[in-house]
Amino acid sequence: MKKALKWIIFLISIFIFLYAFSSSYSSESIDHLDYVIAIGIDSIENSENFEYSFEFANISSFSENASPEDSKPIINKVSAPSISGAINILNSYVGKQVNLSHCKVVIFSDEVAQKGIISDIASLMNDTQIRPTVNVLISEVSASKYIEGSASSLEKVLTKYYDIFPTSSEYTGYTSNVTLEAFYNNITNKDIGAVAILGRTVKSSKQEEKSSSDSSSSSSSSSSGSEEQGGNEAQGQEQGGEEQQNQSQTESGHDSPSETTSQGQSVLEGDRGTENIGLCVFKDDKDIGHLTAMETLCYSMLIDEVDNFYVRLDSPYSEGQKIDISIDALSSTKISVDVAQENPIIKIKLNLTGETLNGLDYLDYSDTKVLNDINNNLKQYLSNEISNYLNKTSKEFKVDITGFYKKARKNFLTLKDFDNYNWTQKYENAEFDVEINSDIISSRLIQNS
Amino acid sequence: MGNQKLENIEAIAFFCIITFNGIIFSTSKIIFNDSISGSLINAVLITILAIAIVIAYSFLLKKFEGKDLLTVSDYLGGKALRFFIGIAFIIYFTVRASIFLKKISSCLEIVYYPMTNIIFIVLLFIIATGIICQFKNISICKTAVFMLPILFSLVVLIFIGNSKNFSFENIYPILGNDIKTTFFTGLSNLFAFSGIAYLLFLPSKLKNSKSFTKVSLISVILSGVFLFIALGNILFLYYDTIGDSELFPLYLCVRYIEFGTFFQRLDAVFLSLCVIGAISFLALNTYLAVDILKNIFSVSDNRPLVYPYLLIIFAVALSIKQNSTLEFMENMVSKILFFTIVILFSFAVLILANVKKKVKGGSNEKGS
Repeated sequence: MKKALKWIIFLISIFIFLYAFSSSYSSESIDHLDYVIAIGIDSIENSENFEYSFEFANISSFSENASPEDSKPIINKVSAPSISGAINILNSYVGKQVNLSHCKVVIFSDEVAQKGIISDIASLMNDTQIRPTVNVLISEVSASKYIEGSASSLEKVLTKYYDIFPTSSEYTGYTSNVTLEAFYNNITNKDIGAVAILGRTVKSSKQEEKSSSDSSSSSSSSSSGSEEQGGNEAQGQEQGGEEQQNQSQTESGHDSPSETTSQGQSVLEGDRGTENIGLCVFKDDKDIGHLTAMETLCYSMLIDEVDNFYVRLDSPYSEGQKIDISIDALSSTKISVDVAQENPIIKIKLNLTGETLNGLDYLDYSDTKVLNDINNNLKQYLSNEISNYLNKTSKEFKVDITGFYKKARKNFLTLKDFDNYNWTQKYENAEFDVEINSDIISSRLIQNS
Repeated sequence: MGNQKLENIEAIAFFCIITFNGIIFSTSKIIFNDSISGSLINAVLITILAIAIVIAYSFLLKKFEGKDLLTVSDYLGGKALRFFIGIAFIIYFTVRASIFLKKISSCLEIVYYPMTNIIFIVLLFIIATGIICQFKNISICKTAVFMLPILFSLVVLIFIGNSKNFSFENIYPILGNDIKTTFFTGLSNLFAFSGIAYLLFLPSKLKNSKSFTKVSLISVILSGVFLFIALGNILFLYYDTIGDSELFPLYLCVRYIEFGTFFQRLDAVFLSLCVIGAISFLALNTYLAVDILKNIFSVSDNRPLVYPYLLIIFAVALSIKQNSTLEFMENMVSKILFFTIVILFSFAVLILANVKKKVKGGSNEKGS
């Protein structure tokens, strides 16, 4: 009898728990969920609502036999006052429950970012489905356009692309892997500014094809223009004309990849309709300006994010000739902040090593003097660029985005003392002392020209 | 539930599982929110203080070898004092267990069971603990021995996994908020070593009662190291307070860990191990509370007391409705109970018992 009673109690308990947990199981079951991989937030003219674009994972596109049609992103747009409201509306529309646990990137349009985005960022931070490693991106065009342009036949699995693209910061320095958690921490920290990845659309070859069918003449002219611009960009492929190249030279006479992307114009053309070069600067939760590719490279160097990058210098011996140099950091950037004076003095010491990538027939890289001359050019070039970047953050943006405040805190015993110092205000008048120890060690040439 | 004597390692695991769980689920957050960049200094300070306290306990219990606090209370003030001390500690254990149960259940509800009523989650823990408590005490302690290295290596692995996200400069300014918070009011964070309360009942349960000092010192040092690593994890990731997040900070830290694109969601593994650790904590807590009840009421079998006691924990845990109440219970009630019952009462009893022994002289009298 006692044994039977035990069994009855046991079975009743099982049924009670099955009943209690089945609702959570149903709602969290993979069959009942639709996975969002990207969220875009745009403003709507004459409305307090925002337009939220949700990009969903198209499972069929993962298949090897998937047709080009399958790789098209599935995007749903909702007009709502907040992200929580948008998800609610979308839940009723798609039938399945929207799940954000595979979301890779949150995109705000520049327009929305300029008005302040703390409310949506805080909502996302408090969503347990969202990972803290989700990237935050500000798009110079509308976020929905950016999402639409992100698809490419080169990478059918879009989640993989969103996963990988920020890591290019490690070998280009033209962007930064800005995560939601870091972004949230920075916009809520009064001592520091925040940065977000800057994205824009490029002239897509898909669009090109489409427009060429409409008008072949207009298409060909725009295409050649893009090619010229592309020639001045990163890899130093001199596809563009001499005239175009001269235009993009910096004041110091160096060909910088930054300049072509500083005006919000893309220098790329390809299958994917978007690019991510530069950073968007925030003070509190408002977008206050952008960093060009070169400024972003300086930022990446100072926060030790970039492992290896490339610059193009004037030859010290022949005007108009260029030398490509691949640069690695020998050790992490040393930064110290002296707060004993009226204004903080920030000392930066970079320890770099470089290798020349292209050979010039009149240069003998085995000659120490030649290497020293190139080296001096490199030092001067980087010092100028870093100083320009630092002056822009302190004098123009008036916000410490590099995180010098962490070094400044070393000089104080308590947080109260540091608060009384008023770092944000002092940073505006900060003086910078940039020291670069670089060493061009050799050429990486298989054969000199 | 039998009452077999414990080996040293089992006693150490007993203490550590109680303290480790407390650190994972609540105290690390409280210490970090109090001291921020001064958290690590605060952790070192309270570890030193905890070592001093257990050395003092060992010294005071020297004349009462193999006797726990209840026996010493009986010697000092008879059955009335034994009853009072026993009830006071049971209240402390109940409050701790209830807060703990509510915390982990809320976390599971938020993360994995949003559509399930929290009553059922709490009930699952209660039933699991009840079933475990039907086994012999040695089984409960052996489970603790098994869980001890798992929890310890877990926090070390989180540290290693997160190291690429760390900003070691977050330890500056070295003294934290201010000197007062880190060095004086911060000493109240001693309650992170809540295992001290359980330690006072261990001498009578040890196989070798002479090793009490060794057991307590090793336990406190292990807990101190655990606290240091746990706080390091949080401090190097967060520059400022975590605020009133309902999720515990180490769980938030685990969410950062990604080993490439293959191992990305380690938080589920972490949480499942935490659940096992939590059940182990609840079983140890229940075992000791029921043992005290058995002693003060002179009951021969303590098994019938398990479910009524668990029912009380269940009721108290569910009576905490709001997060603010839970924070208050954690921050204020738990601290006050620790300092009055665990520190004040126990020291008063032990000191007075030693005085009484000295005044009466000799070691042949009753209770010694």
